[in-house]
Amino acid sequence: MSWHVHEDTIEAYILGRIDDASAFSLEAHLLACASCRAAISTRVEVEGQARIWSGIRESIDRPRVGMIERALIRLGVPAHTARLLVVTPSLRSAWLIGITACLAFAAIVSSAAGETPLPFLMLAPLIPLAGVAAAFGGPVDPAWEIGVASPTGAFRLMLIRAAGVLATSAALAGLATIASPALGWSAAGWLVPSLALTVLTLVLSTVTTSVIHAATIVGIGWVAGVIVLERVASAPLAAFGPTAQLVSAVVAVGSLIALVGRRDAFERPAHL
Amino acid sequence: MRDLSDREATDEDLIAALCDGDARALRELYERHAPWLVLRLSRRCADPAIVEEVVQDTFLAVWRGAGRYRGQGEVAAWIWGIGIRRLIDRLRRHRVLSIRGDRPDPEPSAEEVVLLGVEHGDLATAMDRLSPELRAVIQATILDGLTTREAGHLLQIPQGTVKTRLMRARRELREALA
Amino acid sequence: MEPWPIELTEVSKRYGGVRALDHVTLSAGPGITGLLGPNGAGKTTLMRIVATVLAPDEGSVRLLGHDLARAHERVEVRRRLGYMPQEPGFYQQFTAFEFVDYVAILKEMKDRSARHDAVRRALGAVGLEDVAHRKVKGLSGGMRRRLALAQALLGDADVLMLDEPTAGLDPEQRLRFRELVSQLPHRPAVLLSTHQTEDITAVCERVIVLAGGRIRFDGSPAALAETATGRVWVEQDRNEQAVLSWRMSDGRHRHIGDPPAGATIAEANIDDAYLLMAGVTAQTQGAAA
Repeated sequence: MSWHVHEDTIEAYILGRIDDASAFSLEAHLLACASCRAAISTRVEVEGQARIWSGIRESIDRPRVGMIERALIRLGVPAHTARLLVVTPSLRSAWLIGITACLAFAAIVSSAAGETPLPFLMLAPLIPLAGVAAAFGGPVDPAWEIGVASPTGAFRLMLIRAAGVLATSAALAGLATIASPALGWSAAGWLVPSLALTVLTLVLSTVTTSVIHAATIVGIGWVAGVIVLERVASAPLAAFGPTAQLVSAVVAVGSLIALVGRRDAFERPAHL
Repeated sequence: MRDLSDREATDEDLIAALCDGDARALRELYERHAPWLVLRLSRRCADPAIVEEVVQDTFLAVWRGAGRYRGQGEVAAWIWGIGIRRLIDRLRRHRVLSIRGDRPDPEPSAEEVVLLGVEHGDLATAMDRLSPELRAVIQATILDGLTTREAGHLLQIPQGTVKTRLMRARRELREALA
Repeated sequence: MEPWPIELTEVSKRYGGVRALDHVTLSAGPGITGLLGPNGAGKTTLMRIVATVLAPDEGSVRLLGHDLARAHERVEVRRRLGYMPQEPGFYQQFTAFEFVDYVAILKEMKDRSARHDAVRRALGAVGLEDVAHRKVKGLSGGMRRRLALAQALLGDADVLMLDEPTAGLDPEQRLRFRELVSQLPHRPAVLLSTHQTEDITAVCERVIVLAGGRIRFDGSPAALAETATGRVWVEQDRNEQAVLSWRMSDGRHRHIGDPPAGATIAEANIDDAYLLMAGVTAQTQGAAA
């Protein structure tokens, strides 16, 4: 473009001492002329320009917060802890949709069966188990080695994620229990067993060296145990009766103690 | 890696680099376009805090929406379009009364957009005779490219008033130039 | 006397029947110490043990005066440790910035704005600020290695463990890397494993040659080259008596080993010395088996 705004006009515009007509003219021209824009940029460090930039910089650097992470923060989880949770595969939406579908299916089957909520009760504790299996183990967490070498450490990282998985699974299973009144109150019997199975899996994983193996063993053991008890015991739902709940609670506490005792196996494993 | 050895990259190159997540390209765009944008917005909103906020939002929108720039026209015009609309949104959210455009101190002349580049002439004299209210409507609709509704938000007057003032301004200009 | 930043005493590690490390004793730092050895020499095992992620079967490891066998001392060490694993994994859905930010959270940097400043500095140090907001899956192999290095540099670690940091870098990136590591302003203790002698001559003040799980040499790069003095010669044809020989561009053959009488002795360089050491180790191991 051959025509350019006169220097004096630019100066007057910058200082705000310009008549409207010249300002209109200059503003329309600026949109089409890089060299007149440059004449302004080089002449003036507009007040607050650096401050505005650092605001922009901070905003674009702020990691994108997904739906689940936002929900966690709203529930009172500190933002940095929520960040450690979002990389957990079993806390991503695909997984959550999957387990919701499983639970819904189990609840429907149980309600239809009419007599006891056995299928639902048997399945619900397996869900956090599968979640924990998917949350740990070398191939699942690509940056696991970096995590082990950090002051947070693998043990704390494991506890944070296991708690996240347990809480979300429990919340979904709880919703399924409430949403299916046909299941009755006995349907809440999954809670303590699921805690026991999850912690037991984590302890076992220090021996099997793979969470997936540990979860498989515990899961099969659980299903087999429930079926056998159902056949042998006189009353239905024996695996969820008061005695069984007490046993589950003892297993949960015992496993938790064992887990803390095996802390070093997470912190500095003998095998990678 | 794309070489952005500054000065040589066009605005379009920089926009393309933004799509790759290149924050340095944003910095360069900011340095090129923030100064005039701040000045131009300041002529339409007297509160520097609001202008700052709007400029920040504008460049964030540029960063996030670089993919929506399809090479239609000047990058500067695109940025201005985002900036002025952010300003209107901001003013709509918080009723702020400090709007320039209906200032009481009328200054000498004004020009029609088609004749911009001509610094003096009959049109300037004609616009000079317009009231500041009519001139503000001309600025918002013709120069800033706003719809009458958006102009209403910016000037904080009803859309109908924008329309009638615009008609009156056109009639007065036509008569003065006849 | 100040303890060495890195101290290993009689460290051993076995995998099944294989001795990955065999009673290794060494102390290192400050400055850059190169750990040179062929694949399978036990370098990565050693790096992992020092980086606190793997427990040794025997022996003790002290870092910055702390005993790694004790949990609370290990946490102290990890606060001041930067570790770049040999095959660092990334969360593909993260941007480069988000990944380093994630590691910064693991390093207990809780204040967001201070943490983001540290992340920007680390990305700037490795020249990745331009692609900070690109997703990891969109980065080239060389950029990913620099990203792995950036997370190790976070927070100006006092001990830096870099496992094969130059693998997969092109020559220019390798130069840049060497420049960066040798100019770290706070002069941390760096243990850098590599199988490239050029990395050693370019940046290391000291080199440790590891082969077959044992330390074969410990000294300056120049001293390493000297170990081959008088054991390198050039002949027209290949001499089967040599430990190793290879054809040079002029068609003659360079040999290392015990030279025959009257051979034309050539000046030894660090490559000769390293190959000789690794070659002899391979031979003796072959004879033992």
